[in-house]
Amino acid sequence: MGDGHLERPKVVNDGLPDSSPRRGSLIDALEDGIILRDIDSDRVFDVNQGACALFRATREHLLHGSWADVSAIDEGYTEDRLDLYLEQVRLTGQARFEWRCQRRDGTRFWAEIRLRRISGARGGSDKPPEPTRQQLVAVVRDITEFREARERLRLAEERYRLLVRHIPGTAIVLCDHDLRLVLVDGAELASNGFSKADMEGRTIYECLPPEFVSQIEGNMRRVLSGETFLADIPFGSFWYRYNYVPILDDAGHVIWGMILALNITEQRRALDAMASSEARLRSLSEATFEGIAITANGRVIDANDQLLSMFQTRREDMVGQSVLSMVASESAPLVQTHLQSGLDSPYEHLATRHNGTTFPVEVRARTATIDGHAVRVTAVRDITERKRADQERDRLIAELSTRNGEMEQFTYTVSHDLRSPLVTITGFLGMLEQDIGPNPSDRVKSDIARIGSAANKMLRLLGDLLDLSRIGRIAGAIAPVSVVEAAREAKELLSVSIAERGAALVVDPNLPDVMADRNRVVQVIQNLVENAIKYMGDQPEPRIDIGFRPHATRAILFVKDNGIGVPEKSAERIFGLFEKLNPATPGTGVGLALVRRILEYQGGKVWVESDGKHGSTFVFELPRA
Amino acid sequence: MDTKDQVVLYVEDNSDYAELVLRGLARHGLDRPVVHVEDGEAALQYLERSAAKQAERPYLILLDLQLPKVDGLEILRTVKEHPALSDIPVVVLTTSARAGDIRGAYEHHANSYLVKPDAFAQFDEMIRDLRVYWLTWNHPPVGTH
Repeated sequence: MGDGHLERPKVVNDGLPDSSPRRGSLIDALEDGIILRDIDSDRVFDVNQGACALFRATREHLLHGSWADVSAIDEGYTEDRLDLYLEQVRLTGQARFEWRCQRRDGTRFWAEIRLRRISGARGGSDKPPEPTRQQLVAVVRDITEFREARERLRLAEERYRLLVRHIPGTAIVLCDHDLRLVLVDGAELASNGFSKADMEGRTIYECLPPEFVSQIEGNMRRVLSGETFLADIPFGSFWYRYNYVPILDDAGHVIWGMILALNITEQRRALDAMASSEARLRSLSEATFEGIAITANGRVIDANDQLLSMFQTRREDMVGQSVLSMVASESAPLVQTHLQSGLDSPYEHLATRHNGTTFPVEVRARTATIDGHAVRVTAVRDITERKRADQERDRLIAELSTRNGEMEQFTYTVSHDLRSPLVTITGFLGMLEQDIGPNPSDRVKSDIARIGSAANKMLRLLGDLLDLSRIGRIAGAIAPVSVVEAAREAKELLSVSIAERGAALVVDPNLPDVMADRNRVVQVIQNLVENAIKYMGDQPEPRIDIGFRPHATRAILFVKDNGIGVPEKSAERIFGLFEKLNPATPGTGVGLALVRRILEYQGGKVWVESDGKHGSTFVFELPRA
Repeated sequence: MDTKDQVVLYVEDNSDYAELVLRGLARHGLDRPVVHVEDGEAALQYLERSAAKQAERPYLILLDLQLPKVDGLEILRTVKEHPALSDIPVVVLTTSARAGDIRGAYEHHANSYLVKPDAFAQFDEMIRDLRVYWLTWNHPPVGTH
């Protein structure tokens, strides 16, 4: 800012009056102090009233005083300093400067002093004029107020510049009608490699890149024509928002165009990011299989495509609808409760489509904040299929239990109707033996024996089958079972057949305990040991080991024998019902099937390990106690 | 009234098995008449009559459970709820060893529950013991109330 902003006091110093009788009274009438000096003698030879008033001194004082008497010497306003101006006057004929003056009473004021060299004119004096002499006219004006005002302006401007300079991301430009930059400031200048000094006083054509000028020139002319507007324009890698504001004078004419540039790069990035994240969110919500509704105050404000197709409606028909209008009347109280409580837990209810049909849904709502508003984001899942599957499952369970009942009836029939004729056969056979007398023929005896053995075998078979069918139906309590004790009990039950075969049965005393039905565990071990004895072959030293393999969570137990083994191809077949590898061996072919069935019901499994020559190891697993 | 004329009522649908039991009882010295009926309905008809006619009142009832027309448990219930019949001992003789059947029989106040043995030797032993225990040593109340 130049000094031009402030109206400088007018100093009447041109056209000095010549020596006329009225000259003295004329210069006395001026407010400015006028002091006439003789340059060569450096003597004051005339002062006016204004000067006396300014310095609060008499004419005599001033006439006989020196520069030093009227200057604030201690502030540096000395004759040495004055000499510079006097030299200027000698060279150029005039000088103008501000001076710190001191009055007669010691008070001080700021004065503007204009010096002018004139030749020979002098007036208001008792001496005759000496035309050859060089004279100096000093016009002194009190500019204290002016200086104060100027200082205030300077400070204000300084503060203003400070402000502009420190607002992050801004730059301010004032330009005149020539598109000359009168003022340029702001923190943002440096970001683009500009400086005040490079720009102020220059036209945009002189200090800005031509391609940028072409973008803003029109805008600058618009603002200078009095328009106020905004424009977002990129510069380099930044985006700026330009506020164009015309600055008017008192008469309403545009004197400057003001351009306030704001760096909005971040905002634009954020906007772009938001736009893309919104798009992402939308695509995400469209990607899910669930319907999603955003509701506020019980009304739908947005919905994804899935929800629309679920309710067979269009977005414009759904948005704005009351949530309850989409709920079947029987579910309304439940939904109302959830809406009011703001609970997050999922629940099921019956929903109503646009066309009035209903379908079961599972909903889960959560309160969220969008743009500062609390909304409910509700995920809706059509559970028609699940409900149908549930019903199907219930139907199957019912059917299964019917089947189980039929199975039970069958078992019952087997136990009675099939056993009845058999016990009749064995009964009459007994009668026959008694009635036949003491000496029947060998043939009769052997026939009777065959009938008896066939009937007994069928009874055993029937017994085993009943056992097998009971496994699933009759469940004992699952509790910790000591396998060591179970093995000993099985050993006791089989003591006769073990002794008959001359086998050694060794039970590892460290067998882990299992979680199972105790009687079933005994049954498993009994069957496996029985099986081992049956398939011992001609082994001269039959040995059966009941042991275990260490495992962290399962009990892995085994019954190992040194009998004939199981060929690998038969390893699975032997667990089938009525499967006997050797038809000559005793038994019904139910034992291993029974073992597998029991273990499966107890949450375990069984398999055989054998090379088909050197015995077999039946391994079974149960949950550890 | 304790008369050797009082009958044993034997309800058994398998007539062959009934014959076997009768022969077994005879072999072990049965000294009473046995009335054998083959279904539940016939059994109930007999009992209805005997409730009114003292002479036909059974001394012991031998009862199979799985019967045509009227189930054995139903007969048992009828007998034990009938004021004129409830004190007649009822021995269940059946092929079923099902826990449910056993419990059901005792809940209806059966006096004994026997399972038909598989082997003849055991059958013979059981018939002997049955004869001796229920028809010799056991003393049911006699006559009407």
